Amino acid sequence: MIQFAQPWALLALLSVPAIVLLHSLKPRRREVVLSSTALWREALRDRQRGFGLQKLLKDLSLLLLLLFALLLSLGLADPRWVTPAAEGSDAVLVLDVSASTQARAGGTFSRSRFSALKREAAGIIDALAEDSRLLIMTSGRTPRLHTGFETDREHLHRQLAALQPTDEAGRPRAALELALSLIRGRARARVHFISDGAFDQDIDFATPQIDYRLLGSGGHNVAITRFDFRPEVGSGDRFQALLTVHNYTQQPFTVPATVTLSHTRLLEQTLALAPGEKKTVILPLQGVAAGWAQASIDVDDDLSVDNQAYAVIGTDERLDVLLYSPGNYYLESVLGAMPGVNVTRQTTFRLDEYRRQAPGYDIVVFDRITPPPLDAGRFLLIDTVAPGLPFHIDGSVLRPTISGQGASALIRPVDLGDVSIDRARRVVLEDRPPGLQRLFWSSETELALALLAQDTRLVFIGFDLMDSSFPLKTAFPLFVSESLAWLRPRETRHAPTQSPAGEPVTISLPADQLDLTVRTPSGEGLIYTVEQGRVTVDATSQAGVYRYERALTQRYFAVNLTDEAESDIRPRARIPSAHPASAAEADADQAAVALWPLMLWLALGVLLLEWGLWCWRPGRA
Amino acid sequence: MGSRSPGDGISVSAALDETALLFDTAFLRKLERLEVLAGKLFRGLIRGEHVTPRRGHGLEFADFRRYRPGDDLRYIDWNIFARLDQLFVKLYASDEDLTLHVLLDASASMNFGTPRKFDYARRLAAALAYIGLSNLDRVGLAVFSETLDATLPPLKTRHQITALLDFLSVQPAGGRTDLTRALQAFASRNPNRGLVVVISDLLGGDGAQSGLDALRYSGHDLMVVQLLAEQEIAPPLDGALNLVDAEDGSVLKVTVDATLRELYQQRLDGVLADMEQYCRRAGCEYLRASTAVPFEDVVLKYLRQGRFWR
Repeated sequence: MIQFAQPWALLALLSVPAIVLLHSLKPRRREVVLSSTALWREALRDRQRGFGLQKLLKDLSLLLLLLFALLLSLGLADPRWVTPAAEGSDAVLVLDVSASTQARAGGTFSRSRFSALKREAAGIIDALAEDSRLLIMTSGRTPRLHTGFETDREHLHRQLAALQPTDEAGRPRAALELALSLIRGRARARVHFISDGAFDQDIDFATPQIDYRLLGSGGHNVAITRFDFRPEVGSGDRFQALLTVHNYTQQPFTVPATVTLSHTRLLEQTLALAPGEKKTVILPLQGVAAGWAQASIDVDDDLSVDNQAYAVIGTDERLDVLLYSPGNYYLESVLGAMPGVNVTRQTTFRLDEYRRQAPGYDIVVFDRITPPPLDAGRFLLIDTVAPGLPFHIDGSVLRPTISGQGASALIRPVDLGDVSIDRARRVVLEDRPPGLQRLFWSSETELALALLAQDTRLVFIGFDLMDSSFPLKTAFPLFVSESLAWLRPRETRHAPTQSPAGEPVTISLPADQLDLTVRTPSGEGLIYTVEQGRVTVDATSQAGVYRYERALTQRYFAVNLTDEAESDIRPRARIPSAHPASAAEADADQAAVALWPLMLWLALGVLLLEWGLWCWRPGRA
Repeated sequence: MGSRSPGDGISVSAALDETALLFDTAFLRKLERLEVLAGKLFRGLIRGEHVTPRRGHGLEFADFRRYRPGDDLRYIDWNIFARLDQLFVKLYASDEDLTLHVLLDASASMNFGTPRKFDYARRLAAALAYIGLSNLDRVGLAVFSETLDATLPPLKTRHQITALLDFLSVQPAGGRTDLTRALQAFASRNPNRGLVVVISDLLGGDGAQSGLDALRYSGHDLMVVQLLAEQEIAPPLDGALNLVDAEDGSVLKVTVDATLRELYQQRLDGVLADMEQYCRRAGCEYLRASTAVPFEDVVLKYLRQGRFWR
């Protein structure tokens, strides 16, 4: 069966009667008086004896012109040879599972858009021919395959029944490209794309192998399209919460909005939104905040997933410090006063316990307790040296005077001018590796060093803090703060705190951690195997706060829809009426082959033939 | 060239001042020049001593020819019949004065061409008549189309050239051509044998040969001048045309292209060849003339090459 993708182009067939009309037009004749027309009559009779061929050629020329016009018109109409692919054809079923398919059904659907989409998909499975194969995939933020090419109807139905809509923004183009790549080279294979049509028109509806079935209608929605916290520039403890609410309907809405942080209500405000209006609320906050926050709007609309949004603050700034010390008031006070620093103190050192605990901490501090040989990690050594370092202790130095201060960024802002030390270790440098920095020193010995090796960062203080005035000076907290900042580089951020639904989240973990359990917002525990200190959490299709433990500490990351386009649940994509596989006519599983190239070549051939005839025509002047 | 004839000193130009524009002064000067040239050609001949190809019943035996029905049985040579068992008649040189009849086609087809064939033909006729009169022959004129339209009885002297030119000047061209009827009518009205010069385009129908036959059978010596316009020899026609026949007004719708022009040319060549072949077969003089060639050149060529005027 031949179908036309551009049937309006058949209007070009009007050129056929036009050509016939032009061909039948008589030229205006000029009158010429001759002495006698007898000879002309005889010549005309002579010519008419060979007129059969002439007339045939003339008629043939007209026929060829008509054929050319016909072929060109048909070619412009983009004809496709559509065959029922009842036997042996493969198909890919692409089901839209983006957030908009959760929308409450408007009019035509009894429950939700998604249930209608699934019914349509089930119909396609039922209509499959005996030996046809079907692959089911979903289209969310990323396309996902749920089956291979299967002929088992029951299995396909089970897989379909298990599918649920996600909170993800839809990216149908990526899914369709993947689907087309799966059937590449199979002329009769088809892709069935079932969607609510609530996406921007960025896909090529002219692709003949795709059967579009867009079933959405209606839909009004008010959505949180942005929820975030940001620090104020130049301020350590002031930050702002941003909340954007968008009214996608054509009617005004009054929306009560709340923001809570760790069950503390930060905002309770009613927002008046005009039709189509988008309003942003900025909420200034002060203090040290950590945990996860939730924004909600109380509105009765067709899509509920975007009526909440989540954000995680502060948790990523947390620094876990394991302190081995017999007791150091000043050091513990300084560490405890630092924002986000979580100190765990051990007064005695046990190797097995150290090996179990240390990987869960960002920094390990040895204060006057001898450490074991150090592997990868961040360390602060005070009045002690670990084996295997490029320096060692050889005796002590009484009342050393600080005679020099290095140019390292670590020590540069620290003023050591009035620091006095009663006794210091005599440090002997075995060699000077490139990563070793002198921080400050006396004429007799090194007083503080920093070492940057491949997997190790280390700060060494060569004297007992209690035997010096250093903890009493303002330089001490500054030095400790700078040391901790230097020891913990930026890449130690464990995970992003915010992620769009469906986007994989990568979490960095201690190297010895073998697995990670992630709790989804619904409470389901997902266990991931750690590879090379990293885990990629890909099951983020549900909006909410995800929890996991790292270094015995509860961590969070938030997943939100917050997508302007997805929250606009009004069906916007329109299938051109001429599409060969529009929903109205795509009841049967069909394969289409474009015929326009054939038409074009035939038209060119006819044109060449006509040109050849014109050149060859006898008596051409 | 002077304005006087070399013969009797009469100024033709002066005598014909009042003639129509057709025969203007320039034309008359050409006639005088032709007279001089013709005079050289006729040098030494006297009136009544033409050795004409026409055979008659004089005293001097000239020739034999095969018997044709209608011949006088008295001139059959029975001796030859006895020897060859075939009939031959004896021919005798005529001693009669030569009468020159110029028959001019004045049908509508002669109105065609640039210059008009009819004008050209009239000048040609005038020239031949003038030369004939200059050689002491009798010269008659007749104009025909469907039939004989007008005749001028034979003139005897060159002084009568004015009447001849006047006669030619007033003749119109029009009507259809019926050569058979016209030439038969002429033959019946002019039983005296002579030399008949037919000036026509011979395009007016199929009766040319039967008409000429009628003249021939009446004993006239015959000369045919087929006059064509250059536009008839190489018609400059192309495209979609309504061709109107000048004689009957019929219209022929035709698209002229190279093919049709070639077919026309073949047809014309065939018609001309047929006429030439007929004349050769019938013992007639045939001269094909184009209006593109000056008429005096035609006359001189004719006088030099024709067997009647040597």
